[in-house]
Amino acid sequence: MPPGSSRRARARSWLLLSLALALAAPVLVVAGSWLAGASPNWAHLRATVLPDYARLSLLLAAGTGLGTLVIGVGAAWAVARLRFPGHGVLEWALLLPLACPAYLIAYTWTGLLASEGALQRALSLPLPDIRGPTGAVAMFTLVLYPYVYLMARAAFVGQAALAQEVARTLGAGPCRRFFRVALPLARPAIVAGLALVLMETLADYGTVAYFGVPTLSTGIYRTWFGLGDRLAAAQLAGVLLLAMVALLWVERRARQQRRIAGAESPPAPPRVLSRGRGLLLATLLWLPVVFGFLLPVIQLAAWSLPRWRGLLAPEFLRLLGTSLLIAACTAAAATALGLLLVWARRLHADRPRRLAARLAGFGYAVPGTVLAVGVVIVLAGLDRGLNGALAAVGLPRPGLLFSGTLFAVIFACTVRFLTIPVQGLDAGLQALSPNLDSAARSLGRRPPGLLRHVHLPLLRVPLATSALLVFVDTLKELPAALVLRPFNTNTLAVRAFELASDERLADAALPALAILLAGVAPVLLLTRSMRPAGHGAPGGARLSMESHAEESHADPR
Amino acid sequence: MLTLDDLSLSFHHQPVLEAVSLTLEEGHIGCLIGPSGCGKTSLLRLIAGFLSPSRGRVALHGDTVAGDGHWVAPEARRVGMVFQDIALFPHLDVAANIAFGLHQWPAAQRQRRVRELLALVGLPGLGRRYPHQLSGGQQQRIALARALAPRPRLLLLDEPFSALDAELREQISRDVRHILRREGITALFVTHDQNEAFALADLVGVMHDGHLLQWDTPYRVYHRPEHRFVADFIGGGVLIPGRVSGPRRVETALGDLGGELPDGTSPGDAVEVLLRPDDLVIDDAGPRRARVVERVFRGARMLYTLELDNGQRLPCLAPSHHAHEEGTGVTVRLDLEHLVVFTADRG
Repeated sequence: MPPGSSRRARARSWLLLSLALALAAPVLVVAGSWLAGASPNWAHLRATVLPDYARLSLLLAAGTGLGTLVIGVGAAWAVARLRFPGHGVLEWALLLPLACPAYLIAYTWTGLLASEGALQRALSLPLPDIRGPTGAVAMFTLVLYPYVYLMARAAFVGQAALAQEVARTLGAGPCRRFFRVALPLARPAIVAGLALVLMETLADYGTVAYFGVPTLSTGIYRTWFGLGDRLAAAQLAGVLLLAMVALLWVERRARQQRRIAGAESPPAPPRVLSRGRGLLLATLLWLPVVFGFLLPVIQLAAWSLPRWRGLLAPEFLRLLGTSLLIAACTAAAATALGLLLVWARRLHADRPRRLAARLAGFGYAVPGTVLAVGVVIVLAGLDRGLNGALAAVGLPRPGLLFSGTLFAVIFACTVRFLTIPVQGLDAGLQALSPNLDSAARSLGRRPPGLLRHVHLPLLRVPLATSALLVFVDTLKELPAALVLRPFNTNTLAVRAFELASDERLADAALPALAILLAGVAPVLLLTRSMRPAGHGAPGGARLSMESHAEESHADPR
Repeated sequence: MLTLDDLSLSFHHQPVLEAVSLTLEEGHIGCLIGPSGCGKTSLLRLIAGFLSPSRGRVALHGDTVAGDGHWVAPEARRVGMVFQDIALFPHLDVAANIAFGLHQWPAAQRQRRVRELLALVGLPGLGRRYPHQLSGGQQQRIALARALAPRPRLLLLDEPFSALDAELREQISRDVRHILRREGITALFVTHDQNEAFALADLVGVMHDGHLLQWDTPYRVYHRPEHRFVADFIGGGVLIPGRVSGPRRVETALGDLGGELPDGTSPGDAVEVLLRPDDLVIDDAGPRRARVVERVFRGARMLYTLELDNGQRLPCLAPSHHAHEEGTGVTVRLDLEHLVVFTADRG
């Protein structure tokens, strides 16, 4: 950055940092809630519900971790190293459950297994009631194992033949080779995937609320609205936040190790299974796809079909309109803010700008419930201040301009999903040689021209991908919308959850199906990233697409 | 014309460039050469305006563009640049790449200029291609065309040929020299390849540890190095120990040599004498005996490593039809035009 404008550049740096701090304010407020001293209710909470919250949260995390590990690593190994009938389809179909938010599949399975449900009528077996901790673990495992699968598969595919061959010459059998060579080499990738799974599990609100399992996440909601203690809710959120930060740290570390462990020599050729064993394996591998995606989709479609007229009902259209509006605004805001922060750092990577970009990438560690608490505190404070100030100069009070409108939901989702464009665009920019910038400058273009004529055209793909991912994630977001939506306004996710909670399972199907189908889009994007790179159009755009898809594994759902 | 005056640069209190001064006349080609990390690329980026000096002044045609409280942004300096990684805009075709710096020109003139440059770099008719459809050499020519299009006051080239393979490299560097000469362009190169520097430049600057040690004609840099590092870095010679034996006399393993000595030396002082591979001639009537330790076939020439009786090893470039086996003895004589002597380095 030229020194002539260095004062202006520094002023802009601080402006950017203030912007990032404003976006991080809800999280900082939650983290800082402990500074106010423990809430008077804290002793009571600790004596009654807190041990249960902690125990069940840990139980769910442990169970889901184990389940996703077994399915995810097993499927990844099979897909990466073996060939069997239907391999090509399964490779990406195994990702499909990622499209289902856990709360949707939870209520769909409740309906499937209900005594009057389709399965019960078809099979005259006593079916279990899944509404409990075990059922929650099953639901989480079904929709979250793709994180582990995705990471582990990439690691197994990338593993060089050499390590396997060396182990073979040393007389190691297939079992020993898996546990002693392949698994340890893939461990950083698996740990990274597992950390994401645990973050999602702890952040979940809809599933555990629906199943009546008291966890930290639902505890925040209850403490706030049941007990009416905002401070205790914020402090509980702070505890959850601490766990998230720890998991985030584990994930980041694992990613760094994964980079170091990346092998350079060619990958090992896969083994072709005999027909019988291949079919058996394929059947086994289809199970998580069937249970985690196909059956729920069929059930939702079956419920929706007789109600298809509901699609045109004003109530559904209003719901759809609100959801699309929120999602579109969030996608635009998050993508624009992400671009601003990352691009400003590219122009001039001083300390405030680096910190600003890093702060912006922190949101996805924050569960929706935690964020909702922070957003309400911050925006309510802002409204109070604004109303007070306007009243003081004799102007009419505007009311709850921030906390009482859709702005609150959009703000919360922007904070939560800002990570996606920040990571995606950062990867996209890093794929572009810094000399492109220098070339443009030396040819007489100032920074705005550089952005418009060089960076924006070259970042088209990551921009579109980021916006799409944020859009879909916002459509699916439940707890933040549940808490922050204005009075009498609903989103698809909130309505589906409400109807399901009222046991109107079939009525919930239309909005649920809409969310689920929207969720398939990012999964399809992910499957693109699984194809081997190196063919097709060269150039920065394609490169950044690959790295974007790579990075977007970390996106929250 | 480019003038650098006492230019210094530091990053986080770490000096990168120290007191660099040079002048490059209109239409001349200069070349900076030095080991990696010597600051040569930083110097280019400083001239282009991507870095700002901690001290000193950069002037173009007498206008100060950096230093003395002046600052001209890179986009306003009219300094073109060609990069090591070529850095063509991948989303633009060749014509749009060349026209990138002509955005303020009227459309008709712009098109004419693009055609002119495509012809100049010998690639007419490639305007509609995209960078990834071109070979490395073609890409480098387009990068040159793009930098020249807005008629820069100065062209900077940062190791422009290092991404190309050896054969192409020579060809392209000759073509580029031709183009720059014909257009009368003032240009400053950076390279770590001294052959390239000698082939291209009117003036060569040798850099080391942020210092510009010598800024001179290629001939003088080779034959009259002013600094021990320059002597060592350029031209594959060796420095052999010697002792001052009298006014303008040095005693060495190759005999008593006469010539200019550094200031302040007195008889008995330890010095070092520069010997180039072409200073030593294998001659049956030569006064000194040596043994062939190693020989490397270089086509027209053979590069011998000879060892004197006292163990001193010397390079010797001889016509290759004079084949001497490794291990055999030869006699040599010195064919020294002028003596280059440095006070002995304790390091």
